[in-house]
Amino acid sequence: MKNESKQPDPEMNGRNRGGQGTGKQSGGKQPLVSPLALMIVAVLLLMIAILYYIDPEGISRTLKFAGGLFMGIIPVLLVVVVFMAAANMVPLSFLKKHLGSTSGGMGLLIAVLAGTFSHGPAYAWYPFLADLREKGVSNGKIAAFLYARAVKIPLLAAMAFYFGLSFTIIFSTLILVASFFLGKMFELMR
Amino acid sequence: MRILICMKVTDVQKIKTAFQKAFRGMFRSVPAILIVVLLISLLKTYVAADSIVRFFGLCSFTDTLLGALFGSILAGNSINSYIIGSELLSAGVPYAAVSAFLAAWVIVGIVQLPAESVQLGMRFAVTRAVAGFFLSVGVGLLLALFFRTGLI
Repeated sequence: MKNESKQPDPEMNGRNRGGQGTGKQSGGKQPLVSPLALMIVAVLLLMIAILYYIDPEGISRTLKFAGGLFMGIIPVLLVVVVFMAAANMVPLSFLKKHLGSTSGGMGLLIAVLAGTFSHGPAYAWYPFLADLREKGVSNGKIAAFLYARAVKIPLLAAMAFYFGLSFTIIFSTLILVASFFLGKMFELMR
Repeated sequence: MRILICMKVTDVQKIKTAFQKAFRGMFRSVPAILIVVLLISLLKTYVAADSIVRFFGLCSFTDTLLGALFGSILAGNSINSYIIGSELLSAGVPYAAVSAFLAAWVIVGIVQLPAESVQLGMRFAVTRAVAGFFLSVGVGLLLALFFRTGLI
């Protein structure tokens, strides 16, 4: 695997930064599915198989719930695919300029806002975020996006219903401010 | 006109390639997503979320830590965290603990850690989770301060 950077980046976790600035991604030798993920899935399935002998009813409920959960996130995954495709069409130089490590406060602000508007579970967004990072988006922006997801615009009314308006406003403000600064902290970490 | 048609064909090709890459990326992530789905389902079956009330009540600070801890372990839709949070509040659990619980529910997510590690790297995932835990505790304690000043 060709690596353009002089020092290998442990954060990349087997992925490379192929084609920085060229609009192309290498990764021809990249495995289609992560062996580590497959190993964890195998361990989990083995655990479920063992548990099935101990508590068949419980495991049946678990699998039924898992099926429902997986079906439920498919629409979110499709939306994420659209975002990934859109990101593939955006020039890498543009992404790096606005969301790279040198983009500063404005980039963090964009990440925080995107986090609050993102819908669905966080794990549905990991492929998109991993893809963005390969394209040069900094860890700080990704962290800020994930932290800001604690504030969900569509659910603010529900939160105010359960905990009151002032609680909702203060809680959301604190999370957004903290997301910005933790994002900044991640930017400073190497 | 010919140039326009050529441009459109190029654009369609570009879009097609972008979607092909995106679907390939998503396919690569399916095992990681499956890990989280299975872990959440196992947790939902074997850990009763509303049974956590009995662990609270020692003091405000430990309650806040516990709130963040339970929020980190439990997972699911945010609405569920609001329902459990409001039950905790009505059971007398302090605001600080409940807000730490609400924040950690979304921010930390222990069950999402394997998937996040696979996709974004172990160091990033663990650092983010640990910082998120302290962020949740900090938000809880700050909210308690606001509560004392009568703002909430």
